Amino acid sequence: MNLKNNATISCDLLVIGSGIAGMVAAARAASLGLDTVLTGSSSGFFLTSGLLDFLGVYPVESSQVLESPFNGLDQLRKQNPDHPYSKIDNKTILESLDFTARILSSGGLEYSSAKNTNVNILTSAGTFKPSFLVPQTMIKGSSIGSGKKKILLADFKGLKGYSAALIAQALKRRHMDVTTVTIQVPQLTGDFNVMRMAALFEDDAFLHRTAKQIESSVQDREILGLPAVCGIHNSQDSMKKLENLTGLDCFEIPGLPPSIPGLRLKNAFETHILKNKVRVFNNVKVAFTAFENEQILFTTDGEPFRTQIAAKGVILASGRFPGRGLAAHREVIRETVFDIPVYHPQQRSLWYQLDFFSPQGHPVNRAGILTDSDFRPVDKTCQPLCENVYAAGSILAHNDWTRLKSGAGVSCVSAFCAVNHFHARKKIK
Amino acid sequence: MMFETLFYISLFLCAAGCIFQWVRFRRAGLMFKPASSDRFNPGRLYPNPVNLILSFLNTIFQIRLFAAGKIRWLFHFFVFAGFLYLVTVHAFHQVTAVVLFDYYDPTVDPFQFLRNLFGSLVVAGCILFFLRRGLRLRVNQIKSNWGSHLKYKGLVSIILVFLIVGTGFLLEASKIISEPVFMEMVEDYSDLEEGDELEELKLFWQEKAFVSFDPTVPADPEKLKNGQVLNEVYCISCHSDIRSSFVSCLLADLMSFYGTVLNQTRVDVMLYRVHYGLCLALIVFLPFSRLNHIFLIPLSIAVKNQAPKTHHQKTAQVFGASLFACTNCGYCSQVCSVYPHFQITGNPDVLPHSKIETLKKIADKHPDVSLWGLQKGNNACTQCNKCTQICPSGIDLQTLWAVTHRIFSDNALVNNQTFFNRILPEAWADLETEPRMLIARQELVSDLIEKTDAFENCIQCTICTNVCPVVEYDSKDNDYTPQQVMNLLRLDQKHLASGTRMVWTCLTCYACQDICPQKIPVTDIILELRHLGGVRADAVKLQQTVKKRVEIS
Amino acid sequence: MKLAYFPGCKISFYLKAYGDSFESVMKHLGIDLVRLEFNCCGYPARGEHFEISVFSAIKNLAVAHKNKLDIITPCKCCFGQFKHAVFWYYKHKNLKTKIDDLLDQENLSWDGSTQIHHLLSFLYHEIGLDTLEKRSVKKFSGKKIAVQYGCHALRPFSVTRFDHPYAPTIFEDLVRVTGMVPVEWPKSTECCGNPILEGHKALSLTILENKFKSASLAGAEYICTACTHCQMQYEMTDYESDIDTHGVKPVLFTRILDAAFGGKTVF
Repeated sequence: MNLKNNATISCDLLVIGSGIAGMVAAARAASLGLDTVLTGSSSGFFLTSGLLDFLGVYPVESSQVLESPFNGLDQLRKQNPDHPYSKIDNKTILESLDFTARILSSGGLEYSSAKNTNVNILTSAGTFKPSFLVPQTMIKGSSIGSGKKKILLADFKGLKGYSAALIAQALKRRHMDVTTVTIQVPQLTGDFNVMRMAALFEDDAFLHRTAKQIESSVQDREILGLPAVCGIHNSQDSMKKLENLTGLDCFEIPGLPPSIPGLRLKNAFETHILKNKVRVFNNVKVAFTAFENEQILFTTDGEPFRTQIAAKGVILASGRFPGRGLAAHREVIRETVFDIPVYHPQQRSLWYQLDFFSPQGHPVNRAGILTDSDFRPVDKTCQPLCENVYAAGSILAHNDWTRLKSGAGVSCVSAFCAVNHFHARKKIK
Repeated sequence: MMFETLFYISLFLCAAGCIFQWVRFRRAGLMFKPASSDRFNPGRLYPNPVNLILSFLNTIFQIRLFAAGKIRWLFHFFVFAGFLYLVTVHAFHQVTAVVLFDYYDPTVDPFQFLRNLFGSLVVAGCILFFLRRGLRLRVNQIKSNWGSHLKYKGLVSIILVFLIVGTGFLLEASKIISEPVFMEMVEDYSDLEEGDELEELKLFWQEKAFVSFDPTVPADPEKLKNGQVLNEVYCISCHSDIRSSFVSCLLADLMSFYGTVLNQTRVDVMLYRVHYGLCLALIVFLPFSRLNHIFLIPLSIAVKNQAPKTHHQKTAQVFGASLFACTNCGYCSQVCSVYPHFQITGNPDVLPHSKIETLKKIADKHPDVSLWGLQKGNNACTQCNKCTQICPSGIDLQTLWAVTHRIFSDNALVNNQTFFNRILPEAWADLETEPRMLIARQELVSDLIEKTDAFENCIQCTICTNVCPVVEYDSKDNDYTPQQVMNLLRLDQKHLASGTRMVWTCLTCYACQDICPQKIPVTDIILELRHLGGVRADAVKLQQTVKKRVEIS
Repeated sequence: MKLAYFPGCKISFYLKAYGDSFESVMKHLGIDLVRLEFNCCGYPARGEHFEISVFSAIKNLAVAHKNKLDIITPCKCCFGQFKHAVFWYYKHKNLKTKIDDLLDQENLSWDGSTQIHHLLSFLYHEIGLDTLEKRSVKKFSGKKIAVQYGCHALRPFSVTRFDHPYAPTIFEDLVRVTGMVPVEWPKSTECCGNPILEGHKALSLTILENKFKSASLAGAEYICTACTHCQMQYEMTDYESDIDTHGVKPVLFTRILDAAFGGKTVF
């Protein structure tokens, strides 16, 4: 994206929000040949694990991990007809997830899934988390769930928030065969920096030294688990090299933010959409100004070099509270771009359950924007507010994605479908 | 004989003055000596002959001044060209004109005319200079606060030149009307005795050459004609028509009203002594007055021409004499890149023309010099070379500003970067500052620190720290990371935050700011912290200097 | 087309080659560069004195405005400072009042209409890649080059609007015009280290050395710059002999372009 001062630009589709939903929407729009503009900040990716979940748990109260997301899907649709997944058939869902994997691959990052089933991924807390699309650097870790593998866990001296011993302790409780090794990194002194650690993996000499330090601990081990810091720009290659050097299968274990897999995800999305001529306004806020001649007009912030954007359609993927798509006031939750009515419990006292760890989750977690079956926000009478405004991602109501382990899935699927609907409607015209 | 003796005494004094000044200039140059660890090679400081000749030629026509300001050049050229002619052809005619032209005589055209012409140029130039000063039209006077201490700079030299040429004209006029001089000439160059012929010649000179006779010779056309013949016989070979000395004629005409009195008191002899005395005064004061720029400018240009054009200033040196080649013209400050700095702070030592005066004062150990102002002002210099390019005196200002910091050996005058390198943030936060000095610098800031909404949303996610190149490469020495600095602010520890190494090593690359998921303007906050720390550090440093002064006195 | 040329402070003495080649390139493209009485852009005063830094920049814009010209600068720090100053000028009402008063004293004013171009954004938007391609008579096919973006033009994006702050493409596109091949250089948007050269020299040179090293790892023969300060930083190797450049040479983009256009520059 390159910009002149005081430009007025027009486009087919404006995507507000640069999270997973925004990125998928922009990529989908570009693939359909739409002239697309993307705004918002993509730095939220640093807070994501890099795993793309689909539906890990259903119903919420059961806390039961689903072996296949489709096992829970029918029940979900029956009990929660307003959930985004209830508006889409299984085929489209799979198609959109497949699309996401393909664009990431085009951005240089491979994701794989295990044939319509969830994959259980070991986290740095020593727990297993169900996910659907998994980075290639982590996928081998799913094999340890069986408990038959001889596991070696490595950590780096000084790396905060990650301890191989702690994870091993948790795994031993599950009767797994685990040993640990701590790798010294002489280059790193003082404040330990995850990014710098990850950058080291791109240096062959560092990989050799690391392999050498692991050598004595290898013995009868079959698989090596590492914190998810193995390279930024070329993690897959670094991983392969390390496998060749140690002779073990290797996998990454996702942990606390700032998350390197999240950064890779961001880079891959950005590489793909920039390659496909999406214009990106990074870290720029847009303000809605008017509807005019079937166009929706916006201005960006930044006096006096504001940019006017005239879009034929809008995908609102601005997220919830952290993404500033929704703003909570004392008694009311507002949507920040159009001030679309937000579905939420009437009184503030009802936003949360008394039990903080209540298995059903809190009502406020299901707050968001109500849409029609095409993902267009609706008013109180359930009529679309505007012909060409769509919503996607976590801003959608009736979607407690943290508890259902369905965040990325809802985002990918709703964004993909919303763009499809916009495109179809545009073609009819 | 006495005149000659006086002349040689003056020359001796002038030579002594030159030596004195040279020692002074050298001392000024040594002020900028590089630290002992660096190689110091003063040999290069003396210009080679070729450069010297080139720059001298440049000085004759003042090409640099012409480029800087045409009007000032015109005034200057009037005075310079006129005075140069008078000195070479008139004052030293025995070694110049007499040798070169066998028909030379000061009262013969073209010399008589030229002397008046060049003399009038000098007078005109001087008057224009006076007017320019009086009407405050000089570049360095336009802005009243540029430095009133420069008001009378160089005035003595102009007055001296004006007086010399003025008395010269008066001398010539007084000689024109003088009866005694006429009689001496008649005695020396004719065989006329008292009688009709002398009367006829007197009449001719009275009518045609303004001599005041007492009593007046009665007019008679017949006698006048005879007088003209006598003039052709005795006088014309040495005296062209007196009217070619147009200025002196005019003055003589005026003086002839009091001709008798003036002639009786031998005013011409008195004026000769005054004129000669002033010339000797000029010679004696030459090394000390502004007039030394005639020699210092070619010297400093020659030195500059051989200075290396590089941005490696470690071993750069300053040619002390070039400091004194400054004529306070003020063109440098007119083009100064950091002029807005002066507009906001009002510190004249931001501007080159004022800085160089301060430096000269420091070299001479002048008591009331604000090193503080100079340090602050010079710190603002961006080394844009504009002042050096325009300087009519050809001073190597570029190098001068680059090495000026070397004279601040005093610890209280270090720049803020160094100041914060030497103090730990915790110690810094506990320092007490005098509020009076903080109030003195109450200026507008970006208002990010005082209003909490800029940083209160920080979730300490460490992304800023992770993308920070300083944290990456400075891991051994860095103290607080960007996210910790934000946290210090949330803990209301802004002074501690402003003294952290992180704040002062920040590259201002904005990597953190653009990636912050909470849109916290991390870099802009760090920049404001630097400002906050800088203001407070200035107060601390000022306090220390004041304390030191009190202790000394 | 006429533009006010803002060379910045450093070019005249420290980096004449940049000024000369920049002017040559502009001449080739038929751009008339007008020299006005500009002062410092205010970048060096950033963080030292907020008022001075903003006022300096706005005053330059006012001078350009008085002459009814837009500004072009080859320096990224100057460019960034202009944008930065404009941002604060409008955001900070008290500051705006103060600056307007000071401008008024000199019969100047500014209404925000002056456009600020950097060399790269100007070539990309106003001249266009096609024109540049057509004008390049000489091609440097196959030469591998890493591009140094320069922080102050790139970030913060919301203020500078130069290009994507982490994944910019404009410089690579421009370099391709001359036939050169831009390499994937992870550090292309990272700081060159120049801002702390005086205060923390050792750290500044460490950063510089890492730039050379990573560029060489990325397979580059040259590092291309389009910023006065970046180029000066890379040229520090002329004075600090113990910096290992890994055989990578810094080169000014205008020199490549001038050579490609058949100008005097030998490259």
